[in-house]
Amino acid sequence: MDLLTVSVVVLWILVIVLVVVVFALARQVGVLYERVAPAGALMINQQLKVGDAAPEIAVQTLAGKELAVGQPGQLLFFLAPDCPICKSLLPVLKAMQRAESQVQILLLSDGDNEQEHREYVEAEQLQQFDYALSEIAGRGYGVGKLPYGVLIDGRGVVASLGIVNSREHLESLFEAERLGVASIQDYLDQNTENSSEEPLHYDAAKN
Amino acid sequence: MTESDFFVVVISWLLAAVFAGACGHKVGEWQRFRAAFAAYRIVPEGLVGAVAGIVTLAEVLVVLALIILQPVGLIGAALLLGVYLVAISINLARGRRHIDCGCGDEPTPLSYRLLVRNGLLAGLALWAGWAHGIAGVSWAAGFVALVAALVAFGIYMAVEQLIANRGRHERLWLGVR
Repeated sequence: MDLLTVSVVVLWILVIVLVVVVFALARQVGVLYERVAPAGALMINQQLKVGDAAPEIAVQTLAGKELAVGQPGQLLFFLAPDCPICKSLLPVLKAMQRAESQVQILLLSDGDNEQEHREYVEAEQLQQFDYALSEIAGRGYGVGKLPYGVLIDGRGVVASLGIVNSREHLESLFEAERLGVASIQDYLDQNTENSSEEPLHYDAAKN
Repeated sequence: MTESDFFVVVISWLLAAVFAGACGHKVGEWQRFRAAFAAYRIVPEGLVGAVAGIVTLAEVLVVLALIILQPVGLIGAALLLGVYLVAISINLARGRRHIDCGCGDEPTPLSYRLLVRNGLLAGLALWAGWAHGIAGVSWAAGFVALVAALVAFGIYMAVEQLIANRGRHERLWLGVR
């Protein structure tokens, strides 16, 4: 074999190895995005703050029931049939309804095509939830992005709210309520502030 | 076999791999593909199942034609890619970029990146269809072309992964619908 042939073969092998490495790196970046994702539900809401009284809005569910959104002990989950992330959270909601029996879960969406929503309820077996179409509710709670969750505590006050993208986010709404903070980000911020006031070497220096 | 014939073979097999992967996802996750297809809102509700089936069948035929280096496979691939390109453009224009593109494993929002990707692949298919004049492929040339096609497919998969990562970033970090 002459040198040219050898070098071409070597180059081919290197190119193949490099392609595999690049692909593996790209996958790793994807995994990192998932692992390092923000821990709690993101709070981006200009309209409503934690501690505000939950706006009361009358809606009619698809089943024809008259309901008031904003009652104490409600979890409002804003979703849409064409939102894949909302769909992936439905099993979590079902499990949550069984586990957190004192919380009433309301599914809220908007749009003119009621049939589409009825088919969605049918396909995803959401009959156990109250499902209502209300643009006013979405606007009243300042919902910009989906899926969006709002937890209202026993006094009718917004306990926590935010965009929910994963099971952890949904659970963080409850966790934030228990900790009495606006969102998990808030909690982390508070803790870092405290620790900067009291440096880590403080105790060691005292002793 | 001329140089351009060699490239035609590489492109044909690259496209065969791309479409075979796409078909695999469609058949493996049929319900999800059907939902993604319906979310494009281009085909009337009642026809979604039938048209999605026809598209998948067309992809299978294109893959077979591409493997045996028939020019009709390249034309079919260009047509399918063109149709996807138009469907994505329509929904981007409607502002429905949050829907799943239905391209692969992971729900990926629509973006101009998909248009660039499809445009490039369709361009390759068109060029290869125009330059196609293969009489026969020797074993040696076929082997090199196969390796080149697989390497090109590896790069394609890496790019796909980066596009999916972007969707994941938007979904998990920025909270895009």
